[in-house]
This record gives sequence, C-alpha cells and structure tokens, in this order.
Amino acid sequence: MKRLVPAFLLLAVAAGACDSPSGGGPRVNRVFVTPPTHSLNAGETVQLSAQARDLDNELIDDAQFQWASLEQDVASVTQTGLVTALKTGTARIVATADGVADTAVINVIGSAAECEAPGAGLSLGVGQSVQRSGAAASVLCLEGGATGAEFTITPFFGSRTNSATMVLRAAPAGVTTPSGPPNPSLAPSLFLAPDDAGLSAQRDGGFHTRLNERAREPLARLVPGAREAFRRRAGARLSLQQQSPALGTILPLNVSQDPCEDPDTRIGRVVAVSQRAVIVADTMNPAGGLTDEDYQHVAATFDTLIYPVNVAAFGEPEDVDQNGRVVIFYTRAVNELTPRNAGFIIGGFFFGRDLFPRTAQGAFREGCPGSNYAEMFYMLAADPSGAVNGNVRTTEDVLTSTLGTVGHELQHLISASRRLYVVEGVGGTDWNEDVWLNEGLSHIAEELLFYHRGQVAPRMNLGASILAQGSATRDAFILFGQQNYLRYLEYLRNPETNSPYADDDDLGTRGAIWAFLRYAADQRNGNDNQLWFNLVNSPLVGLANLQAQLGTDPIPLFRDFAVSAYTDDAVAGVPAVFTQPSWNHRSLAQAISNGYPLRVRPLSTGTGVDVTLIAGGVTHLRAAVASGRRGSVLLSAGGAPLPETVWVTVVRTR
Amino acid sequence: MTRALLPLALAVLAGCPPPAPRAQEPERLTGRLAVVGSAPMNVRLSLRTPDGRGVFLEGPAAAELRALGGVEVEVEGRMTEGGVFQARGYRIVSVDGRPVLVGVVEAAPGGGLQLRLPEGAAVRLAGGADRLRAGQKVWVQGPEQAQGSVRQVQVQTFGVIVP
Repeated sequence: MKRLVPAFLLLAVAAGACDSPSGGGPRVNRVFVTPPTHSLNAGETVQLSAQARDLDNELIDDAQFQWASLEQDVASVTQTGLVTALKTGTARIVATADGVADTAVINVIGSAAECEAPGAGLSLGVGQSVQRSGAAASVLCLEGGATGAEFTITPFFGSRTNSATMVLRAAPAGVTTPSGPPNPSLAPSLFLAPDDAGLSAQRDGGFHTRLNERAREPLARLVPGAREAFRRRAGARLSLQQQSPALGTILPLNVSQDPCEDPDTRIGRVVAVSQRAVIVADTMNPAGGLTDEDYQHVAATFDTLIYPVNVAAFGEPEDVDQNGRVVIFYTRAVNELTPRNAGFIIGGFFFGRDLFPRTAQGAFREGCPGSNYAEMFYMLAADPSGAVNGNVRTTEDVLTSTLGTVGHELQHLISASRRLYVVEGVGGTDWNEDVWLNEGLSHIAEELLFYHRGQVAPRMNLGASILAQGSATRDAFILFGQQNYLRYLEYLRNPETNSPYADDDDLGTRGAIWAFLRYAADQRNGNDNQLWFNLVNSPLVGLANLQAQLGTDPIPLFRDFAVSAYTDDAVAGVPAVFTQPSWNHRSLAQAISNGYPLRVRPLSTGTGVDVTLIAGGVTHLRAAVASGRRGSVLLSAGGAPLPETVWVTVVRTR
Repeated sequence: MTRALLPLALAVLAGCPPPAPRAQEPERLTGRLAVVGSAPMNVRLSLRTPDGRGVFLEGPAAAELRALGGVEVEVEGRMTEGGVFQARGYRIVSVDGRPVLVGVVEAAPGGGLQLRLPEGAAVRLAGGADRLRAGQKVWVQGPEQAQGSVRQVQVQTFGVIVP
C-alpha cells in the first residue's frame, strides 16, 4: 500500500484546516483505505472504505475523508469512495483526512467495448507499425480497412532481470486466422540438413550448457597477486611454454576441471608449431584421428586467418608465457565431457586458470599449481571408433568444426586475458563478462571468420545463394557459419522461452545473442570492429556494457530485433529497425531446413492464448480483420493490465 | 601472524579494550546477481555491487542465488581472505525496481495455490499461478488484493528459486 499525499491535496487540506470538521477532537495519525488494490473491467465499480486512527491507534469515528483520483481518465471516484473504472490502466485513488492520506491502486482491465469508440482502431498501411508499452498496450483495436488486413502483434517482455518469467494472455475478438504469406511455419519444424549441402545437423559446435560451479575461490584469491606478477613479468620464468617447444617435444598438461588442485595430467606431443600457435596432441587420443598434416593445417589457418581476424576485432591476447603463441591442446579430455549419446557435443573449452602463475614468488605469495600458465585452450579429438563414451567423432566432422571452435575459444582467451591483465578499471575479484554476452562475442568471432574466408562482408543480405556448389562462401559457411545459423534456428523455434540475454548458455540463447549482436552492429552501421573491441575491452559487463558501447538502452533494440525476426525479408515497407541487413534468414532457412521455423501463434475470435515469456522473450501473434470490420486483441498479465516492462509492436503485414 | 597481532598489541598499549572478534559480525553486500565467464569451465556466480565491482559468491545460499540472475539482492555472510563472499543468507531487494513476495508454494484450503511467506502468513495466488507448483520456492510480482482477511496476489511475473 502506497502512502501518497499529492501536493495539491495537501494545499487543499491546508486551506480547509481552519474549519476542519474534526475541530478539537483527536488528531488523525494514520489513514487506511481498503481494499488497497483492486482490479476491474472498464465500466465496473468498487466501493472503497477508509478508516482514520489517532496516535493511540484508536478509531476516529467522525473522521471525514476527501477522495480523489490521480488518473481521472482511468477511474473516477465519488466523495463516498465509489470508484468507477473508465479505461485500461492503473489509477491511484487517494483518501485524505486532516492532511493524512492513503492510496489504493485500481487496475482497470480493458474490454473490447473500448474499440467501439470512434477513431479507436489502428489504421495502418502494409509495413507500418505502432509500439506501445504497459497498460496502454492492453487493448489493441485493429481496422480491416477497405480490403481487409493482416497484422503481427509482438509482445516483448523487456525485464532487465534475466531470470524473470511473465504470464501473458491474448483474448481476440472480431479477428480471423491469417491465411496468406508472409507466414512462417506454424509448427516448429525439425531441422533437416540435406546431405548434398554438406551441413552437419544437430551439431552443437561444442558449447552446450554444462555449468561448472565447483569452488573457484583459489582463482579469486590469486587475482591481485597475478596482476602484480604479470606487471613484473615474474611468472613466466617457470613456464614450460616460455620457449617454443620443438616438434615432437613431450609436454605434461593439466586438464583437471579443478582450477588449482587435483591435477589430471595428460601427456601431449607437440605436433605443429607456427608463428602464433603451438598445437599439442594428447598421446592417449583415440587411434585413427587427425594426422600431423591436419594439425599443421590448423596451425597455418590459425596464423593466416583466425588469429589476425580475432585480434583485429577484439585486441591482442596477453602473453603470460612470453612465447607469442597460443597452445591448442587436442585431447580426449574434451571428448570425455560429453556423455554417451548426449544431444550435444562439447567441442572445446578455455579455462581461465591457465592465465595464473603456478608458483609463488616475490610479492605473489601463492601460486596455482594446476595452471598450465600459457595462453591456451582445449579441443575435441577425433574418435572414429567411439573409444570415449561410445561417441563417434569422425576425422571429417572434427576437421569441419574445429576451425570455428578455435576462433570461438580464442575470443574467450582474449576477453579473459585482457580483462584480467590489461583493461583499466576491472574491479573486484571477478574479471569476467556475463556468460550470454561472452558467448555471443565468441559467436561473432566465428561469423567474422566466415566473412573473411568467404570473401563477403556484413550488410550484404546473404541468403541461399551463398550455398552455390563450389563457391568460396559455401565452403566458408560450412566451416564458420553453419553452427551460428543452426543455433539461430533453435532460437526461432521458440522465441518465448529463448532470449538473447537469458541467464544460461543454451543453444537458443547463443543463436539469439549472435544474431542480436549482428543486428545491433548493422543498425549502428559504423566500424564493427570498434564495437567488438569496445565490448571486450570494457570494465563494464552485461546490459550495462552493451548500453555504454552502443550508446543507447539495449532493451528497445532487443525488442526491435525480435520483431525483425518476423518482418525481415518478408514484409515490404517496414522501418529499417525491423530489418536484418546482413542476412536473409528466410532464404537460407528455406534452402537448408525445410522452411523458416519461427514460432507464431494465429489468433481467432473467442480463443484466448496463454503464453509464458522469459525476460527478453517475445511471442508473435497473427490476426486478420475483414474489410470494413474492426477487431480487437486484449492483452493482460495475471488478470491485470500489462506491466511497464512489456512492449507490444503491431505491424500490418498484408 | 605477526601482522595480525600488531593491531591488538597497539590497542592494548593504547589502553583500549580489545576489539570484538570479527567473526561474530556478518557482512552484507547489495548488488545485482550475474552468471559470468565462459562455458563450460569458467562459469561463476557473481554479485555486481553498485560501485561496479564484481564479487564471486559461494556458500550455502549460492545454490538459490544461482536462480536469481539479474535480481537485486542483499547477501549476508563473510568475505573470505581470498576475495570470495561466502553467502549464508540473502533477501531480494527488488526485481525491475519493484518489491516482490518470496515464499513456498502450497495447496490452498478449498483449492488453488497459496504462497507461504517466511513469517508464516499465507497469500493466495491468482493470475498466472497455474505456472507454479506446490513445493517450489518462488518470488512473485503482481497486483495485490485483500478481501476481508484474505490476501491475494495476481501473479504477473515470477521466478522459481527452488524448483
């Protein structure tokens, strides 16, 4: 219950104080209005009552109250406390006695009758749109016009609390189910990768959810000392990788999931050394895997493509071991992380502990014995016979996915090492970016590699033509683009429970944040690499980081991005904010996945639709209105008008 | 050890009473929860304080806090020497700037669900309550109503803390 004394009421009460009816009686100490909150449909009434009590909490029988509505267009109130709901919204009703006030909150739920008022309908041309938020979006009146019209209504839950969920109900009247295009697949479709496209279906690319939350206190404790040691370049003297090892050198490397204790040492053999990479293969990897020639190809590609593209976008990784190279360890330890017959594959990982010195020295009084103390990450080994957990990883599949994964992990390495040792102002013991944004930037790294290898660029609206047999873009898409695309399709299958900033690293989240970051860069239409660099080299994190680097609140951008997933390359004449200039997803989806799998919900009169949205989630509702008619869609949350965290976009699509 | 005893020795020399043992005083931190790092090995729970610092959270309350990403909370516990906050308890300050009700969902007399608040009171759950199940620990947000002695909340937004 809010206690509110508007200034004008205070003035009114003060002006009347000389002839106060309470006279010399007990002074009012508190006022109570009941019920404190109530929900009504427009046209309904509710009787409020008020009590006044003195300092001894005794009821003042003869207290007289003045009643006022602070939102008189939403609900009115008589001087007896009778409230009449007028239109959708929230009204504050204030009762005052002797200058003491209390407030009741009245939620007025819309009704289809509101759409009967002259001029209430939305008359939009094809491609035109309107956006509303909160209670103002609770009643939508749609005009069929002279020819009939179809609309997409997209409620977006713009909560900044990425673990929040909301309930939404859509109650349509006077509408029919849309019939014509643009109409994505109404039912979620299974992804079918045609063999001749050379695409791997259901491939995770290596990053499925597997949150490891075991105690990591040792790393936090080491942060100040590690920074000091790095400044003095003290730790590298004991690094095995300080001098670039020769081919054939045997290296013991810790693959334990524990950061500093309980080492799980595997023996690796140096199989390729290039200007920027040291490739090490676990001597216990399954037989029949990658050859030394394959590893040398990875090292060469790392030098000529992956490293320069990542560094240009995100900055140079620090060099704790002072050898100028990144250690890439192909080990069965990565294969062991994926259970037998799991629906995902972990293709690699980066572990921040490897950036911490192993031993105490000087002012750095404590080391992390489990650290390999090198810029490094860990990669999936080929396993043609399924020796590890029964999961077959053919050499061909690993070669197809490994370069993109290397680019992905390199972004993680750059982000962690720069935020730990280079970026000014990263405070506290936590130097990490939020998971959803960190993973999104790694997926951007994969996309950048696609552009470079495929000799194409952002904002070219790439569609099915990139899959032409024998083309450079096709090969590049298979190596660096398809995994992002498959994750985006996963997002499209259910944008209600997937979100770009969801508090997880599910495939749908990854697909959404990749596509969102691309969308945001395209809308910004500036120097993309400057944006990526700023996001990685920032002391800020998460939504605050996005806001600082984009120069605008990202929540409305998330909203418009979600609308663009429907409208881009489908609805003529939409504003630029509802387009995705780099990709023609509908065209690509048609070519490789039997249609565009965006989940939509057709509306029909008399059938309410209940939806659950996570923060950042949307639902795409479709409705048609016949010529000369006016339809309505009432939107509510929990039986009350929409909260201010909900935005609704209406686009006329046909 | 020598450094630890120095303030005590100085205090005795100055005639001051010895300082109370700090172990008795729980510390409190306020901030926004975030899941940070990179998957699968680097993922941590962090509290971002208003001054922009990030503090790793562990301890008995961490499992519930993990379900509260983005929520503004006050955690109670102790900062370890290693710079990790061992959270023993917490309270939700706000969700999107608004207060919430926190409790355990249970069957209501006469049907439906209600929320048992920590102080023992029960609040009937309406609106989107059909998304919740008895036994869950949740936070809920929405308009509240009182009919006589019965308090009710129309659930618009919620979060499941313990499934």
